[in-house]
Formats: sequence, C-alpha cells, structure tokens
Amino acid sequence: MSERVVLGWRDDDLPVGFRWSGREPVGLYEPALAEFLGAVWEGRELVAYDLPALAHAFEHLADVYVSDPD
Amino acid sequence: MAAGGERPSGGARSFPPDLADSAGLWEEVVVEAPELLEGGPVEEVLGRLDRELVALHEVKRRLRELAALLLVGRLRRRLGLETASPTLHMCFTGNPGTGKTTVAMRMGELLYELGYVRKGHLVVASREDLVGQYVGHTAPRTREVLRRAMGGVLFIDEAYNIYRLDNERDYGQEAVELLLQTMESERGNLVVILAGYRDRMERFFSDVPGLGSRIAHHVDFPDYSLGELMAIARLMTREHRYRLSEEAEAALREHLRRRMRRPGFANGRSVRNALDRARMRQAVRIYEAVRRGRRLTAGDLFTIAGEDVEGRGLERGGARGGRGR
Repeated sequence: MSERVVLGWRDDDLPVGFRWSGREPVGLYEPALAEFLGAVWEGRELVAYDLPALAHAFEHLADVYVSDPD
Repeated sequence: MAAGGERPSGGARSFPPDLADSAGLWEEVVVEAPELLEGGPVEEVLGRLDRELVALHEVKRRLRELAALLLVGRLRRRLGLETASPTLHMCFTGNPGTGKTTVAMRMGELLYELGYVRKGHLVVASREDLVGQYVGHTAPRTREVLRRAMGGVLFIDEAYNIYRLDNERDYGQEAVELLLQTMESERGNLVVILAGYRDRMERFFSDVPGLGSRIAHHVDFPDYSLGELMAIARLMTREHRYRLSEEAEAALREHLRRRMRRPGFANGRSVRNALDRARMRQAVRIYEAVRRGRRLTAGDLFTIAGEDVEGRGLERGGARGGRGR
C-alpha cells in the first residue's frame, strides 16, 4: 500500500557525503530533518514510506501555513 | 616505507602530513579514478552543454577546467589531501541572452554529479525576490530564497540591483549582508552565481566590501556573432520541429543583422523572439490559406517561409495585421 520512495543516498566518497534523489519535498535540505519527519535509513538509502505525509509535515515546519494561535 | 611498514593504499583516507619525506613512496600507489574516464555523468552534462549552446568556446573551456579541478579535488579528498570545501561562488558577466542562465542550470547539474552539492537545482532570483518594501520585510524574503536554494545554485540576475548605494533607506543592504553571511557559512551547501553586465558588476564588487573576495570564478559571456545567432536559430527551429526555408534563412539573417544594431538587442533571446513571431505568422498564413480552400500538407506545418520572418509590423507594435508584409 505505502510506496517506498528513495529520498537520497549516502556516499562517503562525495565531498558533500549525501545526495538527494529529487523526490524529496522542495526546500528539504537536511537528511536529519527528513529522518525527524519520518524517513528511515535503509543501508545507504534514505527512504520514505509515506511521502505525502512527510511533505505535509515539512510544509508545516517551513511555515507555509499560518501557525495556530492557540 | 609507510608508517608501520605497510604499503600505502590508494583508497586510504589517511596520508602522511609531511609529503616531502615520503613523496617517492606514494608514486607507486595506484589510485582508481573511474570518474575521470569518458562516458561518465560529468561528461554527459558537459556534452549536453556543448549541444545546447552554440559557440561560447571560452565559457565551455572554463567549465571543463572547473570540472577537472573538482574531479581531481574529489580524488585528493579521498586520500585525505583535501579537507576544506572549495569556494565555488561565481560571477557570470555578459549582455542579456548570452546563455548565463542556461550555463548556471548546467552548473548545478555538474556540481551535483561531481558531488559538491546535494541537490543541484537552480533557483533564479532578482532584487524583487530578496528585498522587501518595509522594515522587517527583507530578512524573511532573503532567508526564504536562500532556504529554497540550499543544496543547489542560487542565480541572482542583475545582482547589482539588490543594493542601491545612492539610497540610504534602501533595504537592499540587509539582503546583501545576509547573502554574504550565507555565502561564507554555507559554502559547502550553496553555490551563489551573481550575474549581470560586466561594468555594473565590477562597480558592485567595489561598492560592497567582501563580496568580490568571496567569488572564486569569473566567467565572461561574449555577444554572439551573426553566424552564431543563425546557428542558434537553426538549433531552436530543430528543437521545435520546424524547418527554415532558404528564403526564411536569408530573411532571418537580414532581420538579425539589423536587429543587432538597435537598442534592446538580447542575443539568443532576440533570436527566440524572432522565431516565436515567425511561428505566429506561419500559423496565421496557414490558417488563412486553408480557409481560402488551399490543400494543407505536412510540409506546410513545419516549414517557416521567408514571408513569415520579415515581420516588420509585429516588431514595432505587436500583431499589427495578419501577414506583416
């Protein structure tokens, strides 16, 4: 049911050490933040099993929505 | 011999600090470098740039040099010879339509393939995107643009417009300060390309202390010659699956020759505009011909005729009349 989406790969040979796949939400830059939002490491791959939920959570975090005054 | 009497390995990350003492020894260590061989993704990006952009030989040479530097830097990093992130911020100077944005886009892809940025996307911004109109408006705008660009390339067109030196109440200075801070602190995460006219960029660098020293690579984009503009036109018509008839080629050459001498000429962009107008005229010509009972052929649909190109009427004030002759 849930689609496995590879968000990026760890590669210690690269100067930046990690590359996003292009499937990640726009503006998401830190792999640690993706992890915080529900992505998991599977070997060298950073994977999301519910990308829409992750993207939604990231949009909230990025202040796309007005915060709840309560 | 290496420390501990072991032969050094090409894949090792540790390297003796004093190369002078052991340089001879390391000559025998073979380093695998598949990324330097032909056919890799880096070559693919450079090849695409070659195909997409006519001429610009000097620009392409600079990009190949940079790619070589970064590829070798990556190999050196593997051996522990390089640790700091190189400064990759750039300045592209040249007139409008000379290919700066296209090269910036390919630069992002190149840096991604080389492993120097995590995403490789391009964010294009101008003063309007960065500078606010009231107190407290600028910082969030600039930060948002920087956030979107993180991991890729931020291309700031006509960068000198950000900062208006003659207006002390201008909020542009705040944007410049944030930009400078980020260019330094996020050197490994973001590549900034400042672009614009050469003379104005030079003035901008002298007006903003610390900016010029943060730019590692300057690339100048020359204007295209008439022959190169025609080559661009052929490339564009092929891409859009059109064909220029012999008369159309001659008419377009003449149009561009005249257009180059007039104000507002924008190199490749002017070619694209001329072709867009020609396509419009061709469509109107076909439409009218079919309504008059003429039989339509497939060739009609992809051929731009001489009469489609001349377009004096359209040039001056929009679509005045159908045929513009």
